[in-house]
Amino acid sequence: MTWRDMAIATLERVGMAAVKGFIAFVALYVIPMALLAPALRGLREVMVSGPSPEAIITYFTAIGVFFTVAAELAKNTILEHALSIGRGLAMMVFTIYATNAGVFSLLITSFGTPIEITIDVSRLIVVFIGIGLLDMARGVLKALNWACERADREP
Amino acid sequence: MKVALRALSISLILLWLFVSMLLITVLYSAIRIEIGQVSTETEPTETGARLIIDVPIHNRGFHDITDLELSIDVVVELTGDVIMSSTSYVPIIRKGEEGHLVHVIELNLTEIAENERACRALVLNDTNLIMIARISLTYAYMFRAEIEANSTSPWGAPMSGLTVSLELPGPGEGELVAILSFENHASFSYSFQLEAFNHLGDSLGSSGTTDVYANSTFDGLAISIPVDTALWTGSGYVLAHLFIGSAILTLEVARF
Repeated sequence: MTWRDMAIATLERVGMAAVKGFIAFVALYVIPMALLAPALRGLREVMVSGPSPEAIITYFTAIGVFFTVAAELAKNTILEHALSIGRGLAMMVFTIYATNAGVFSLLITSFGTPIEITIDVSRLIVVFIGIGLLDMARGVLKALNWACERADREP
Repeated sequence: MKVALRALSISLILLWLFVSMLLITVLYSAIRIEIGQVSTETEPTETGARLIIDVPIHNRGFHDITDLELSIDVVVELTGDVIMSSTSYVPIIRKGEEGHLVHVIELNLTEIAENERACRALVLNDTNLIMIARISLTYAYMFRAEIEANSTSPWGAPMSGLTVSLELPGPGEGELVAILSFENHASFSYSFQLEAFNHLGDSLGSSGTTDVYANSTFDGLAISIPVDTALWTGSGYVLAHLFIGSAILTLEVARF
């Protein structure tokens, strides 16, 4: 492979990463913010604890776009699998942060009476974390499998 | 390695399916829970009143409701004292069944009288009574929900703005005169009696009973208390006994 071919391949990969990153940004941030803006404002006004809905979408987009671009750039390398495991870990931490560890509190006012509603879904979050850990284990196995197959292919 | 990977992938798909199904059925079931016609019944007791609330709950969903608890507290805003507390609990309402949450609220004036600070605040000061209602339950053994609501209602004091001045008995006199000014801001009528004590706690004597009607005002009402001169020590205090129904509230209104 000549330097020219390598430069073209790199440019193609960077271009594809940029396109995928842009699509992820539009899908995860621009569309939800445009469609859900009034609902998010209403939700922010009644939420007592935890991060604001806008912050949740922003952080989710940041994680999504970063891992989409990074995975595209690291395609067909061991880094692709490492990033997959990293994405699983990041999503687990994000889930705990965004759901306030599974405890939501809302304060609404009905006929002048303040009503506080608390919903505890922490058990479900534990299930999500368990599934996330299994997903990460699968990522590790995939990486090992990829390394073994690559070693077998090389003379 | 490939077999393990495939097994793990299938397990993950099954787990996601299971969790998704659980979430869908929980949301669907939650909107199928119906609260029937709430019936209330009030009955007088010797020292107040009892309110019985019966809430029928039809659990038409796919999951059980457990640890259903309703508690109601009444707090005096001025002092922060809880003057009434009631809790009811239903351990389980199984799917497809109907359960009844029966809640009994008992207004016991004798119990309120035992809390001297709250009793004094309620008799002498217009304030607010804050009712805090809290309902909590666990749904599908997994989701815990709690709803808390506060409502405030004004309380009119039976002896609002009470001022008392005393005319002590002179040498050889056997009568202590208390001059009272107050307004009854309560919505109920009652009667009261004054009783004088010396500083040792011995009763010197009691006045006659005075009736106070709802929303009435007294300005310079003179009440004489015949005193036992043999027990007179020159110092002591005056208690007011308020007779509300069959309950008696007692509080100190003056010192001399």
